[in-house]
Amino acid sequence: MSGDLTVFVPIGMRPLTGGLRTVPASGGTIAQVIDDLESRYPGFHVSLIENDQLKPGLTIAVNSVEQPLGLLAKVPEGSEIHIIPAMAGG
Amino acid sequence: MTTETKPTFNVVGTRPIRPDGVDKVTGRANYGADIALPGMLYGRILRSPHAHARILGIDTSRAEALDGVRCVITHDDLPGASDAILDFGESVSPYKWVLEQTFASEKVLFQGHPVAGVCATDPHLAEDALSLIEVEYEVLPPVLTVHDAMAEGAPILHEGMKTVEMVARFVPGDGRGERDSNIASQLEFEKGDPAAGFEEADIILEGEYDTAAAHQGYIEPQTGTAYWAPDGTLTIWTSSQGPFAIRDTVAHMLGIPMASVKVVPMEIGGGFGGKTKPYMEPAAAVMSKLTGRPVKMYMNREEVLIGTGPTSATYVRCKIGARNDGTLVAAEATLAYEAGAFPGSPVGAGASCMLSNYEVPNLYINALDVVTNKPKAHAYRAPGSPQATFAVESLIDELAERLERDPMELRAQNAAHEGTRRADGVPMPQIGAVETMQAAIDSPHYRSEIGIDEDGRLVGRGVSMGFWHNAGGESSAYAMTSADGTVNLSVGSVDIGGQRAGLAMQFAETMGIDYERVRPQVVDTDQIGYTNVTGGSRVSYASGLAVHEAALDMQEQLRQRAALIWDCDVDAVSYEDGALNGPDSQQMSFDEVCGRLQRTGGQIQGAADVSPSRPGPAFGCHIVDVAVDRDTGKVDILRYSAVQDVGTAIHPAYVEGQVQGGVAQGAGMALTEEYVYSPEGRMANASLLDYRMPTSLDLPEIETILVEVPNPSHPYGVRGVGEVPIVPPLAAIANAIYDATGIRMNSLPVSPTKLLDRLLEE
Repeated sequence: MSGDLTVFVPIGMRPLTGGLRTVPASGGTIAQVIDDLESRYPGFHVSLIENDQLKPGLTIAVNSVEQPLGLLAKVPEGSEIHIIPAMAGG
Repeated sequence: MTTETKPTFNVVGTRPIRPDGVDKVTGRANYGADIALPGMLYGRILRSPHAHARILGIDTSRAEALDGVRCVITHDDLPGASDAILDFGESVSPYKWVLEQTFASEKVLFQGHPVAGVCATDPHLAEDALSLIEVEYEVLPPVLTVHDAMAEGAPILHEGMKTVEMVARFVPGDGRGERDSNIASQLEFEKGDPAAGFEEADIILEGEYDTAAAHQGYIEPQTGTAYWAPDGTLTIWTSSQGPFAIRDTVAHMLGIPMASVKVVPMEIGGGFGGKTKPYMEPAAAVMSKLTGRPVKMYMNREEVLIGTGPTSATYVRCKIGARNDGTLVAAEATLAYEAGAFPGSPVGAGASCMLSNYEVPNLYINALDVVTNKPKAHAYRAPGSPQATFAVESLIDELAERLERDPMELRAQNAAHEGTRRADGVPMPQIGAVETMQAAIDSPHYRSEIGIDEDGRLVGRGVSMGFWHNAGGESSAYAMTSADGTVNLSVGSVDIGGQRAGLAMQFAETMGIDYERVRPQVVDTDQIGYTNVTGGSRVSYASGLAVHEAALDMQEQLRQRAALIWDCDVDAVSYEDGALNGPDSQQMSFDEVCGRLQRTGGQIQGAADVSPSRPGPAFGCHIVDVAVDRDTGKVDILRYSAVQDVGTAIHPAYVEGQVQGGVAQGAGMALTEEYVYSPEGRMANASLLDYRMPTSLDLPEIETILVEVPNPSHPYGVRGVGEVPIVPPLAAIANAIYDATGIRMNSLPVSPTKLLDRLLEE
């Protein structure tokens, strides 16, 4: 399990972290990272996950790469994790 | 222009003839409205004349009694609403909104909102029957701008709708404010310390900007033909950017298995984002189920303009701060985008794109998605970015003037680079912003003198940058060999901008064979794996990776066959430059091995399903010279150059065409295109005579300069190219008008009337 991760918390979710912009986390996959966050900041799980998948319209970027595997995506040690809205193109 | 030493390609970078070209220029190609089936019926839609009204009753009896009418349908004929979220590939929508957009239930929310549909033996008969449907309305006051929608006491479009946060939209208890609101959602980005950044600034500039709704302007109106067969399977013929999005949506709406719905993609006469979701296909399917016959539907131009989504009209307030040396230190912006009748404007993308050209250490952006009584906004080429970029690039231009700096040099000083954090905090991968800006500075156009207009008009030059994320996503491909060494390549990506040719070229490059040996085709949803929409500038990248992977799969199988023929270990066989190499210098060309497949186990097919996510962002920099007639306010574009990082241009002519097309559409948004509404919310210019898109007579030859900073995550360096060229024209043209006249036009389009008023004021 990777530790030393940094999760960037979107403004809308900062009430869950007491206003913190970034929080440390650990986990080898996105699902494990969210579980870790949930244990310290209750509300992450229900905010981001539905039917065992990342909720529609959300995406997770690990470092600079959006993760099509969602919760199953691997998270390398020392990664930055961003929770962002999915953007549609034309 | 090439920015670094590139690998040498055999096919990539050449300009072969597109396989669908002859059919398209001779009229043989089959578009959505060309479909003709035995026993076909025709469907037409009754649309609301009111922008906002409660439906008190619908009486269809007189229409149903008309001879030749086979059925009349309304919202009641569609399955009930649910809380499901429909996935359209690149975007999602709550099912209840999709359902309401198909047919209104309790309220109509825009002029053109479908209320009922008639199916008849003849399209004219169906049209006549529409007038026999009696709808009783209670007309409500319309909300036509974001300002009206957000005003205290504004009429509420959706009772019970409260503002939610766009990312954390499902956070328990969220739903900002207790009252119902027309602000559907809010998105905030924050980076660094904006307040401290502005404290650090020597100069702070601020402005308010608005843009009008503009339609995608595709030449081919929406169509949809459906046949619900007795065995329960449903076939839909349509010209859509997303056949799988249509399939999945219709299956969900009608409660049938996705595998029972086949969507046949017809040739498509333009989409630009406007054809990624269904409009008439669900109604045609219901009519077909009720009648047992194929049902064809198509829109006329007025229906396209009033009934399908333009891009949002927008309001942006923006502030930037810089040091006297030109370094940007802070930015702040509020964006309010019209979503139209249902939530879902591209304001999020506008917010994330607007400052991505630059390194801005401190920023705050507040983005609001606002519903109004207008057609639901739909994706339109780099959705949301042109409008927000207009604000930022206007301010950057003002900053250059205030600091007495060259506007391009100032931009280059602040250029984003690898590692620069976007507004949402995500660091940029390898990008070509700096190279694009430098290429613009070095371009013949930028280094030229503007000169004096012989007709005495005011002349000026403007520049602007533009950014777009680009997209990846799911794509599938398979390729089949034939004994003569030719290949049939099947893809699921609808061909709008030369995808058949571009994908065949990438396949041929990987296989080391001639482009002419590859026969590409776009197949229906029964014949290919899930493929995301042709949109988001994703096809050359994502479907390109799919055909590349399919070619590698084919190579692997060919190695196994060669090993069988040569009686050696497969590891002793390599595939290189279109030939197999084995022990003892044995060699077989691709043609030769294809000729031997039949008796070594049969022909083969290579296949791949991919979902890549490193598309490589795109940057563009545009330079424009304009002339302004001080007596009429008319603006003419004298010269236009578009510089763009395209990664690697697979087919340079098609890339240049994409860039030129984007410029033309952006010029329309800047100068002529707008939805004009009466106070009652009725569109006053719902024809192409009055809705004024630029023609070839309005534009000069658009010069293109292709910068190639390869995307390291694609074997040939592909970046998406189709969307970003629509981003810079708005600000570039407005900045040129300022340079010519000294008048800063913060409201687009800059129509002659609007500019003349300002000229007379000055």
